[in-house]
Formats: sequence, C-alpha cells, structure tokens
Amino acid sequence: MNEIRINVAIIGGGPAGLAAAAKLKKLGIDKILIIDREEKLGGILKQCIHNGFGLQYFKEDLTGPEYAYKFINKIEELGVEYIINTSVIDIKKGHGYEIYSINETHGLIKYRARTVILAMGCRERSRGAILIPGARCGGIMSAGSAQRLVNIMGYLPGKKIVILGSGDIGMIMARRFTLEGAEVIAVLEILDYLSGSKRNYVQCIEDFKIPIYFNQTIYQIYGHNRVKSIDIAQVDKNQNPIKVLERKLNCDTIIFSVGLIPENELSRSIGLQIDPVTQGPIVDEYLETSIPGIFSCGNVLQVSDLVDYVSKEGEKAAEGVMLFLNGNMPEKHWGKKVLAEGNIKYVLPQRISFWPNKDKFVEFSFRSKHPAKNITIRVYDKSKIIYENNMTKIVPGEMEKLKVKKELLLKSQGDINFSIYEKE
Amino acid sequence: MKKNKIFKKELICIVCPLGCLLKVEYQRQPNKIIKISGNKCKRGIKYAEKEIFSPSRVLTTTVRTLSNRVLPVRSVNEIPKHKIKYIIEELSRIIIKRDIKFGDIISVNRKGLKIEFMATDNIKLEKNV
Repeated sequence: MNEIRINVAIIGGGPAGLAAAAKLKKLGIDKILIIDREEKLGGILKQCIHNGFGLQYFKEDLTGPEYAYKFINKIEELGVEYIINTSVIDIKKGHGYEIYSINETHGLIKYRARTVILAMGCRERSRGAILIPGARCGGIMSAGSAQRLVNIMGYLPGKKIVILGSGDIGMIMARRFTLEGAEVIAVLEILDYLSGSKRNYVQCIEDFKIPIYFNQTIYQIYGHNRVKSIDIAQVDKNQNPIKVLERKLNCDTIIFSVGLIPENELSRSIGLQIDPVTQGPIVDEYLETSIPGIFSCGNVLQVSDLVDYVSKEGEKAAEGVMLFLNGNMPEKHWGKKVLAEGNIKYVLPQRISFWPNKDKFVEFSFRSKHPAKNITIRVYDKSKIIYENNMTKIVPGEMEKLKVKKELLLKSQGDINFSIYEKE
Repeated sequence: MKKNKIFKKELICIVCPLGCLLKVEYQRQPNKIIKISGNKCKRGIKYAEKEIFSPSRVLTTTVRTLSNRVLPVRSVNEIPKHKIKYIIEELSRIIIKRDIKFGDIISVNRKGLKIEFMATDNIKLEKNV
C-alpha cells in the first residue's frame, strides 16, 4: 500500500477542522489535509439553517451554512487540500502517525502525518442513555436526526410532536416543526431550569407559544408500529417520576434533545487519556493531548454553546501544531494539573505545559454543576489565591471563559484549583 | 388619563448570546421608551424599542426543489412577527426548478407584499429530473 506523507492530518471538516486548517496555512504550514466522511465540508453547520452564528467571530448574524461557507471559501482560496466521503478508521503511532482511511473510489488509503488534529465533533445522547422505558416503535428520534430530515432531506418526521429536553437543538427544532406545519404539543424538561439559552427560549418557544413543562419527563411510551401516546410525570428532587402525578398525552413523534457527547472512538483507540467529565481528551493550553503531536479541538474536546468558540479552539490547536512542527515543544510536557472543585463541573485545559511563546495569558473554559448567583470564581494553589473574578450568575447551560496571567500560574506551587464561592 | 399611562415590561434581549434581562417602561400614542435598564450595550435599547412597538424576526426556512434536497434560505430583512405565518405558507407553494447558487435571491410576491429570501447553499438539479 502506498502512503502519502503530510505534515498535518485534520480529522473532520466541520467548524473546528476548517478553522484549524485556515490558520495553519496562514502560519505558513503546508501539506495539510482535511479528511471528512460526508459529501460536503461544514459538519453539523450544514443542517443548522437558523441564524445566530458568528456574532462574536465575524460580528455578523449568520446562518449555519453561511458560517461554514465563509470558512470553506477561505480554505479554497488558501489552497488547503481536503478529501470528502472518506472515513478515518484507525490511527497508529509509528514514524509520525499512520492514518488509515477508506472511501469508495480509492479503497484503503494510508497517510503518514507528522501531527494530527482531532476535530470529529460530537454525537447526540440517545434514548437508551437516559433509560426511557416503553415501546420501541417508529417515530422516536434525536433532535439532530430530525433536523437533518427537515432541513436537508425535506421530510417532516411527524404531525403531533413531543420534545424531551430543553436543549438548544430541541427548542430550535420546536420552531422548525411549527413553521413546517406540525404541532409541538409539549417540550418537557426534567430539571427546573432551561438547559439551552434564554435567547432560543424567546425566539423559539415564546414566539410560537409552545407549551414547555419543567420537572417533567416521559414515563412510558405506547405504540405498536408508530408512537401513539406517552405517559408523562412530574419528578421529585432526585429526578424520579412521581407516579400519582402522571398524565397521558397523545402524540405520534418523540424527539430527544438530551445533550451531546464528544465522539472519541478514534481517540480511545490511539490510547489518549480521556477526561471522564468532558468525555473528551485531556489537553494542555495548546490543546495537545496526552500523546505529543496529537491535538484536539471543537466539540470532540468539549461541547461548546457557540460555534464561535469552536473556531477559536481550532485556531488555538493550529498554533500548537506550528510550535510543535518548529520543535518548540516544552521540555517538561504536561507540567501542571488543573483541577475542578465544588460547583465547577470541569475546567479546560486540564494541564498546563507552559509552551515557550509570547502569550501572556492562559484562557480557561469551564461550566458549573448547578446554577448559582453572586459568586466568586477562585483560582488557587495549595498556599494562596492566584486569581479571583466576581460574577453575578452562573448556569450550567452557558460555558464561561476566564483569562489568567501566565506568570501567576508559573509561580504557583503544585496543582491549580478552580472553585466557586457563593456570597450570601 | 389613559393616554399618559406608563406600561412596564420585562424582556430578554436576543441580539447576542448574553441574553440581558431588560426592564422597560414605555408609553403608547406616541410610542416612546421612557426608561430602560439591564442592558449591557446600546443594541439592547434598539431591540427593546423594536420588540415592543413592531416585533420582527429574521426568518430561516427551506424551499422545495426538484432535486432530492431542500434549499435552505434566510429572509434578507427582518419580517414582522404577525406576517411570518402568512409568508411561510406562501413560501411553501414555491418549487425551485433551476440551479441555485449561494446568495441567489428568491422572492415571495403577493398582494403587494414583497419579501426577499437569500439562498444559503448551492443546489444542482440532477439531469433528467
């Protein structure tokens, strides 16, 4: 089998991979290849036809396809190579990295890359993952599948629809279904607060007067060939259904919008260390994983709320790749641990290697476990507080960013901790 | 007396992902914002004024084509909220019978109402379709 030698292999041609490719080319790196398994570049943006993308990155209000189009144009202009309809099936460590991929025309293709950027995105959490009992009939699908059916293929999955989960895709699909002539009879959220953004609540739920119920979940699904009805129930504090407070709803379709999970099958097969909370690889400030030369960015690393963050992450990984290829990797790879404490669900990067460069700050992203008001984010080591920042509120549905001076982190002793303090 | 009545309303600003909670006091006839608080930027004021007196939205949807894919489109301008239902029904009657390039305009013309939509993807019709 012939092998094709390249400098950087980018796995995935969605927003993260595209941004990384464009940045790499601008930094003067050549022999970059984007490998994507679909028939068009752009990843999930292709089916997100609603607007609201790019407000931060481009300072414009764009739809998903428009946002992707801008990046695709950019990489075409820069002459970045890409291959579509091609799946990467394995990555092996050898002299550099061996990337095995397959497509219909060439069969098995082997690339030998000096560095790899993992940008495979995420998948949707399924019905099985949240243990919803009942019939396994037609008419049950995830919000993303429904979005593809409606926005690309042009099919409406049903007429009377119930959506479980108040995530952003769920709310956006509630609006899409309504516009396309279906009736959304309920959006159910097991928590007592919205898991998506307030903005989507206003323009998707409120605008179209869609009923939304909190602290409620699906208790049972009935139907033979097709969903006929469901039992929904109020839940207690531990999210267990209270049987007395159960009621029946007639519907023909159930849509699950219950969260996203980074898709890390490839990462696991290479043997990358995975963070059990983010379910993405553990990385340092340049998004380098536990194996030197393999970087990760976008939703495969951590599920972001905004595509703008994903593009920025892609560019960060590209900078890391450039430093790596120029031989500027830190001697002490993976110096310090960054730990999440208390109400902080996770912090990213989980390690700091102190790459030799001009950056004065390290940017952290984090989420809280539950909502809190009037809080202080505290960054500290075993002896002292390194940095503090006051915030009026924090909610799990919105990722927060924090910049901390690199010299302060350099001076710290031992691990670095992140915590939330609530003021009375 | 009725004329000078001051109305109070709380709105969530949807201009950017911050989602500021705006507290607005306003008057009708003439329509005027008297007081606004909670906005972190100027765009919030503009949004509140628009949202209270003439709410409108960018409409994104799909249009049928002769290929096996639908064409994603967005309205070039914001559409008054109360007209969205009517416009979406008009749009559902359109079938695209030619190749479309990103940025092409598709318009809905009916009863003196002209709404322009922009294609946000390329569509190539297969031969013999």
